[in-house]
Amino acid sequence: MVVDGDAAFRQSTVEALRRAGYSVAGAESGADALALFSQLPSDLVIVGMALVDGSGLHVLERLRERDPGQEIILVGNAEQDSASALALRHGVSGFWSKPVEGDALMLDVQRSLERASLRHERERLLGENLEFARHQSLQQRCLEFLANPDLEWLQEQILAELASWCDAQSAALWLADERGELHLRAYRGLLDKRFLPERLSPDGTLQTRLAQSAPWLAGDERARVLFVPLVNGGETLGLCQLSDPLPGHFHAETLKGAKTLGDFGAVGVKNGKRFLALQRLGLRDKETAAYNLSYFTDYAGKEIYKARRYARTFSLLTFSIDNLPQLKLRFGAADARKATRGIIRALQRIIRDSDVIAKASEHEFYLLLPETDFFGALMFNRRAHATIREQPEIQEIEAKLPLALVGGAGTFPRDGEDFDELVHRCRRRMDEQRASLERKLVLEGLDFWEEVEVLLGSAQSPRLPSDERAEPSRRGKVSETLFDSLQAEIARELLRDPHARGLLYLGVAEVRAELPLAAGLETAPAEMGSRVYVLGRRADLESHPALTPVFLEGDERLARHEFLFWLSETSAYALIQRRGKGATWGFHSSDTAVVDSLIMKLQTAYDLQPY
Amino acid sequence: MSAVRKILIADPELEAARALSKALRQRGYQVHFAADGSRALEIAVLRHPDLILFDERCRLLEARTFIQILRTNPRTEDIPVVLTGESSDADKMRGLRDGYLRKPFNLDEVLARIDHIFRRSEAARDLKGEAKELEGTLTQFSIADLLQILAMNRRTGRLNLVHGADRGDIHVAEGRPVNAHLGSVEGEKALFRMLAWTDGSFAFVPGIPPGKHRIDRAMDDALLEGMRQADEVSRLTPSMPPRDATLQLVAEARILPTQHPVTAQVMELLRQPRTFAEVMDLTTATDLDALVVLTTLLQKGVARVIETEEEPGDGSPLLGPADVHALRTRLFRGRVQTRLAIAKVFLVGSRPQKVRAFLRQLPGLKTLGPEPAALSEGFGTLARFDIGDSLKVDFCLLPAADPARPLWRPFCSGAVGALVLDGEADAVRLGTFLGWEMGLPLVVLAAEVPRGLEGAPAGAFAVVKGNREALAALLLQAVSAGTPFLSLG
Repeated sequence: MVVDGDAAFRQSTVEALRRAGYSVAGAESGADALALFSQLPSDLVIVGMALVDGSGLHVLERLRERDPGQEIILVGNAEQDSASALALRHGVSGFWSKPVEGDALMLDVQRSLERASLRHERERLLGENLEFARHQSLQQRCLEFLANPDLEWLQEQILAELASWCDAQSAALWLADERGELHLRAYRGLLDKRFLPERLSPDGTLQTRLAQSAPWLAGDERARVLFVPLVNGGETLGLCQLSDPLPGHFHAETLKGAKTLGDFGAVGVKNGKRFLALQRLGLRDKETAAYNLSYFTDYAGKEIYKARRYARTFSLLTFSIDNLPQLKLRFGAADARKATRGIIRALQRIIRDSDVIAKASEHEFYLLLPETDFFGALMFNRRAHATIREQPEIQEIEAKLPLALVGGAGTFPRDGEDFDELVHRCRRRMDEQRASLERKLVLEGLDFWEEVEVLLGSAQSPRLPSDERAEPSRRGKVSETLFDSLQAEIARELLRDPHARGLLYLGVAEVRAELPLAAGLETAPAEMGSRVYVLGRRADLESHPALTPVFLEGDERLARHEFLFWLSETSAYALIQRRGKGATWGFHSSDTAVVDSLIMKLQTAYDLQPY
Repeated sequence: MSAVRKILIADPELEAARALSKALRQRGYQVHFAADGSRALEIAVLRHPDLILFDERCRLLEARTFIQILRTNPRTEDIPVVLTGESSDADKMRGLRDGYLRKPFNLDEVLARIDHIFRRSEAARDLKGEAKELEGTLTQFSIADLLQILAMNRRTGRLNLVHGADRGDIHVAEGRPVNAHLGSVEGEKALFRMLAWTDGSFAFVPGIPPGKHRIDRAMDDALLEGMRQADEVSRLTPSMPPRDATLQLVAEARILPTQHPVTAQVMELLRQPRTFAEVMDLTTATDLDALVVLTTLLQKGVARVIETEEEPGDGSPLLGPADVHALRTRLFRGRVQTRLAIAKVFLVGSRPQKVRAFLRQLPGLKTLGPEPAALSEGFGTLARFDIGDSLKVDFCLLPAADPARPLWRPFCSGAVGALVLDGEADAVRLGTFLGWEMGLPLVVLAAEVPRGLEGAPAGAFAVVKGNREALAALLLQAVSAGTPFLSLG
């Protein structure tokens, strides 16, 4: 660009430079020049001292402000020495005095332009170098992902690296399961777990997004969210969500690095999964395909870490075939093997992908159920027994010798903080079961009312067998008011912790609104964790927010008895009573096996839902 | 609800559906029937049922696909779908919004479940448009005027009232007052008390009020009676002692065994010192009746106002915020956190007198009724003590006798400790169970810990200073002791 107030000089210079093959623009005023320059920056600007609107020095300063390295040649008159000195001080690349000689002009222009292009080249290289160094360090960090195949560690690491790369304060990670569904595995920062979906199904828009395998931005002005998919070879392995960026938004450049991290993370996760699968394969019992104990304890240790970190719960279940040694002795090792295999096969039919079965000893199995509370474990135990009894191998064996199956459950953290404590608790519960009345009185084959008769007995029946290890059961005369105060107290108990899951059955002559239980639960929240049933003849209670009335007309046995069964995360209790002339005769117990069996038989007898 | 509710049953087996649809029709539902999944979908879209019972064995459309299709259509996304089938797989039930019913099912249970779902969706709708139809201040409209308007229009709903720090509500059904709540007071007593309010604000929310009906009067009758009582009450009040004065029966006064029921109740209450306000809240009689009785008792010298020394340290919270937080955290371990945590403390003593004495000497305690049923029964919840907005302590009893043994463990959940009131054999036995089996800390209200309770794993020590101090010591011990609360052997 040539800027000069002297039109003759300007035009001749422009002409000369155009002839030499440069692309040249001319301007007569400083304002024009600056306007033109901002649209079309020139490699070299030739500025005259005298412009239409003032001194060229002004233009020169403005150009310097924009780019200190800008090539500038100042043109002045010979007598303006002071100006030339000034110009040199401003660091211009040349100073010409008018009149300017054509060849010298060309030479100077050529040199200036060469310098400018060298400078650009250098800047570009420097930039590339920096970029390269950044990428290299990123790749180094990514390499870490490939160094350790431990999935638990990996998911934390991927989150940490992505969050630090993107300057995000919060991050969450979902990993795909066998069916491709995404499960929340880790989160950190300012996130509230309640707002993070546990599962994401990759369909619809999410699927299209994931297929593109590039990070994408979402959210609005106030809450920016960046999603980084972990995709490898077309297979979706996970999805990372980054939010609360420190600078307030995510830079476009971070997206590229995030993609690299995501890609490497995907490979890492894939390796981790393969490693886990291999590990599982290598750690299985050959006979039953259940895991061996060393793998199981290792897995349980990780589960405990996870449960503690994310305030989750999990349950440990133990199963034992107490009479396996007898079976082996009487019918041979083949039958014993068949029994264990049958049991494992039955259990494998009902477990989820994340549940793990291990063979602890010849006749004992452990099961780990992640994200399962104690009530869930009880329900699983019940289902497991039913499924095992349905298994053809087991039916074959049981035709010869009924199996003495015992199951115990322990839940983190209420039953113990580490694996040994949990196992200890499970064993205690198994001992309780072995000592239970259910076993002592051989109640298993009886139906509901038969069992009620046996338990209730009468004043003449022999004393209940007692055992120190078992939870207590008592029978005898019962206070007239116990039934009512129990109802009122259980109603209070349920309202103290309405989310706790449980089952409560009340058997009465008539389903009335004045029942202390119905009155006590009048203010119960709509979403109570416990299912409460009242069985009896229809009276004045048709519906109730927390109760399920079950109307049984003309049921003789129910008319003569009253009962209350309660099974929850923390409590197991059963009361059966018969009102007689003058006195009430009753049986009550906190023996879990008895309570559970009464409830199960009641459910079968009256077609009630399991939970 | 004016429109008839429609229920769609999708089941390939006509026989199975017949019994259910008959029961549903009897309840006044309109029942549609589809034998396969695609027909069910057609009906769902065309007829827009209020609920769908979908059997897993339906052909042409798998249950999950069926639900997914409904959920993607804005017209049908809100329809609750209950799956039915024969599997007992708990995994199936997970992720189903409206549940799963295993066949064979009990009809009553299915009906109750359907009721529950409708109630829930109605509540959700109410919440969405918690439409306050009428709002204003009581200086514009008196409560009597408001109630008359509601009666005239035969309205059904809840009238919420605020008067200073007091909040109450009056339930109206078809223009009749059916119940009222004011703090722990309910029924006519609450209604009459609120009728005297002259300032404050009100809001009327239409909808069917939950709970039982406790008032059986026509609106006009209730209003007239309420006004009369309010006038009488304001006439009597000036001659009464201040609200926080403590009253008690005069020990030597001769009392005839036969009394009017209200008199008997008030006298029963005054066997121990209680404030005037407490007596008014605890009697089931209306304020006017209670006032008349109290006036007579005071005039005849059967009851008197007694001087009480100010309890030291009153007003300061029992526990600091950090300890409250720690106790809450321990209570909620591994469970869903709710706004309010309720801890349980057992009172272990062999005689009800000791328990009664303890309750009397803990300022700030709210007993359940004048004479909690749990006291005579020896079992149940006695009273509640507020430690703050987010933490409360319930005092409970467990019967110590051997025949009651099975009650011990089931009622231990949420317990944080036990206060042992005496050292008799029964109390020590129960204390041993709570201390060793349940791992609860024990505080003994005596000079020393009885033999047999010494060295309990979560701590056992004696506190003689006072009930309040003993409770504070127990709760602090519960925070610091490392044993889990919710253990079940």
